Parts: sequence; structure tokens; C-alpha cells
Amino acid sequence: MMKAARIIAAILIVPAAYILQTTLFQAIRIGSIIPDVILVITVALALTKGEVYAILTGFFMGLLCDIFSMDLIGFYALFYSLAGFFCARLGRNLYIDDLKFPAAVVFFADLAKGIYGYVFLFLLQNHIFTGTFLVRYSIPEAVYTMLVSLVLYPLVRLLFTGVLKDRTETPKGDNNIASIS
Amino acid sequence: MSPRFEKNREERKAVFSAQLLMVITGVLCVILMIVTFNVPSFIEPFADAADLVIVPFQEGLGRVGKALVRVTDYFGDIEELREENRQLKNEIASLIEDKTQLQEKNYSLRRLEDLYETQREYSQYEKLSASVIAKDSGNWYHSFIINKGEADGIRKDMNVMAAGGLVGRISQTGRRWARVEAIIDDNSNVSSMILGSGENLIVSGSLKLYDTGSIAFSQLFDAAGNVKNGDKVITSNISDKYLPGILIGYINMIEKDPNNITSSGYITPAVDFEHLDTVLVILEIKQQAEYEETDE
Repeated sequence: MMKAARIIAAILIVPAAYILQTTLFQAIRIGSIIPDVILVITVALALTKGEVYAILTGFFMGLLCDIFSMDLIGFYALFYSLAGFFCARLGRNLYIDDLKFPAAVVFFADLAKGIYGYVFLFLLQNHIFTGTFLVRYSIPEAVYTMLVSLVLYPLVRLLFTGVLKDRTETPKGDNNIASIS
Repeated sequence: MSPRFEKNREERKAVFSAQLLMVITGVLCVILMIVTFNVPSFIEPFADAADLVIVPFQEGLGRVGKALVRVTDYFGDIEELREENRQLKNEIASLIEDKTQLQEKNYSLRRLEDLYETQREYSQYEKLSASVIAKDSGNWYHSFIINKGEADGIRKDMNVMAAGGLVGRISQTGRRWARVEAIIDDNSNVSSMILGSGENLIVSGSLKLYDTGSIAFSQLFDAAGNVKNGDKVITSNISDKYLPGILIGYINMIEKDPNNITSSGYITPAVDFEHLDTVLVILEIKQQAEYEETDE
């Protein structure tokens, strides 16, 4: 019953995230930088629900981005599903039960997105501006997205696991580090 | 052996099926990319499917978003002034448009009578007004979604204007939406000319210049050194996607290239891309216009 509800929530969150990203969240641009809510949701699902949720939601949200902003279907879909997969793997092997951990994952995932986009969309077309791209676009976006994830991650976790606060008991290990492998 | 091992096996099974799913998804993505790269029309079913779910919400929420933006810079009575300002701006925009056209007419008349006869001004073209309902999801491109699509007669490569200047062209269409690629976008190149002297140049957007609000131009052959700051740049006859005679902007910086033959520099666009609300789509495609002329 709960599982069905969560699957429905995952199906609904796909268009919702894309629509919010392109409309309402345009109002929170700072210095023309908009945080990547889609990535936050992909990472949050990866860390709370595992690979399958993350790959599928990432794929479909990326597909929407492709349809509306690219001439190439599959470009963002590939990135978001890969991001979901690797973040889930990371979360499975190393989970630090602290809000700082998902925030850090989001930060690096967004940087990876910047590099992926830069290499395939600009560098290969001989548009070379690595410094400008990193300093003006990629890093600020990663920082802003990380800050947004501090608010959004607990909400997504609440929606999909019913847990709002950090779990007090950790699966294994005496520190906050749980290692399952 | 031990219960821990059992658990690990289940875990490993889950990891394996996730890996399989990832491989399938990844291969699917790559196939989609290859297919849409080679056959652009393959996007159409996706585009049509998307407007069932996404566009109606975007339209509604886009309005809320705009209202929010408006609230953030709302100061009591200023609304009234703003309305007046808006009307005046519209008036100025139409005046600029008129002025450009008149100048151009004058120039054409002075130069070549026959050229003038074959040239149709963009004011004669049928235009369709559309609202901007969504922006690009990321930070790298300056494209946006409008609320009119194929059902309203919009086709790929149609030119888009606002406030008397060129905004860009339609780069993708769905049934009830279309994506506009702005001329300041990193992908955009417009072949254009200087109004008055008729020198050709290439105007290209660049990600490096998004902050400055200007666009770069290059390959301007100006041996006589006639071109100066403030000169108007319009789309040229030889452009393959843009109709001739649409105002792009004004030159704000010009310098000779190291080869001492061509010049390059920057242009201030006539359109304020940060605050685009409604745009006009010219319901005519460049190629069609040419066909019609040869028919006559």
C-alpha cells in the first residue's frame, strides 16, 4: 500500500520537478544562476530509495529536459540516470547519516554535470572557455544547488520514507559511518 | 554460510539488477541520441507527448512565477507609472521599428532600385503574438518555451521578434509549444549587415558574454573604416534562416582583427532578453519567401 503510494509519488514528481524548474524556480535565479532541482531530486531518491528509483526518475526527468531544451534526445536523460545510479551505489557503500553528506553528493554531482555538459556541448564544438564556464557557471550552480538540497533533501526523504529527521540508529559501525560491502 | 552472507547475496542481487537497469537505460539513451542526431524528425512524437502533460501546467505556473517576480519589485503606486512606462516603451519600440524601416528604405532607394523592389519588409509579414511560458531548465542556454505551436501555424526556423528587434528563431516545435533559440545563445550565428553601408558581418552569441548582455560580431569587411559605434545592425539578405531587414542591435565596440582585413567587436541587442514576456513570431520561413519571389 505504502509502496504503491511511493511509486505514484515517484511518477508524479517527474513532471512536477521539471515544471517547477522551468517556471516558479526561475524567480529564484541569483546572478542568472538557477539551482538544479532535478538533480537534487535524483540524488535524494538515489540515497533514500536506491538505484531503481533514481535511474528511472532521473531518466524521465532528463528526457523532459531533452525534449524541451535540446535537439538531441537522451543527452540529459543519460546524465541524470547515471548520476542516480552512481549516487545510489555511493550511498549503498558509504552512507553518512548527516545532511551534509547528501549536500556534498549533490555538489559533486552538479560539478560532474557541468563538466559533462561543457565537454559535449561546448568543447567538442570548439567553444573553449573553461575558466569562465567553471568560475561563472558550473561552481556557482553547484554551490547554489547544494544549498537548495539542504531544504529539499529532507522533504523528498519525508515523502518517500516517512522519515524527516536523521535516523538516530545507524546500521553498522560505531561512528556515523555505515559500511555495507 | 552465515546470515550476513545471505544478506549480502540479496544485496548483491539488488545491485546486479540495478546495474542491468543502468546498462539498459544507458544504451537506450545512446541509441536515442544517435537516432535523433541523424533523424531530427524523430523528436516529434516526444515533443507531442510532452505537451499533453507539461505545457498546461507551465502556462499556469509561469504566470504565477511572473507574478512572484513582479511582487518582489513592487512598490505601491509605481504600478501606474509602470503601466505608462510600458506604453511609452511600446511606442518607442514601434518608433524604432519605423525608423529602421525608413532608414533602410532610404538606403535601398539611394543604392539600388531593383534591390528595393524585390525586398519585402518584415512589417508586411504576418505575425503571431505568443507568451513566454517557461525558460530553459539549466544555465547554459538562452532558450525559452512559448505557448504557441504547430497547431497555431508555427514551424521550425521561423523568426521571432520583440520590441522591434530580433529575438531568435524557432528551434523546436510541439503541437502547442515551441522553443525559441535566442540570438545571444552560444549556438546562435546570424549573418547580418550594417544598416546604411551594407557591409556584411556575422553575429554570434557566446556564453562568455551572457553577463555583459552583448553579442559578438566578426568577419566585418570594412576597408574604408565607415562603421562606427552606434551603427545599426540588421539581418542580411544572404542569411539562410533569418528574413532580411530585422533590427538586431547597435555596435558598441569595434576593433580591427590582427589580419588587418576584417573587424570584430560587440553589439548591444535591441531586445531586453532578461525580461521577455511576449514575443512576435513571423509566420514566414526564409526559404518560402524566396520561393514566392521566384514564382512572381
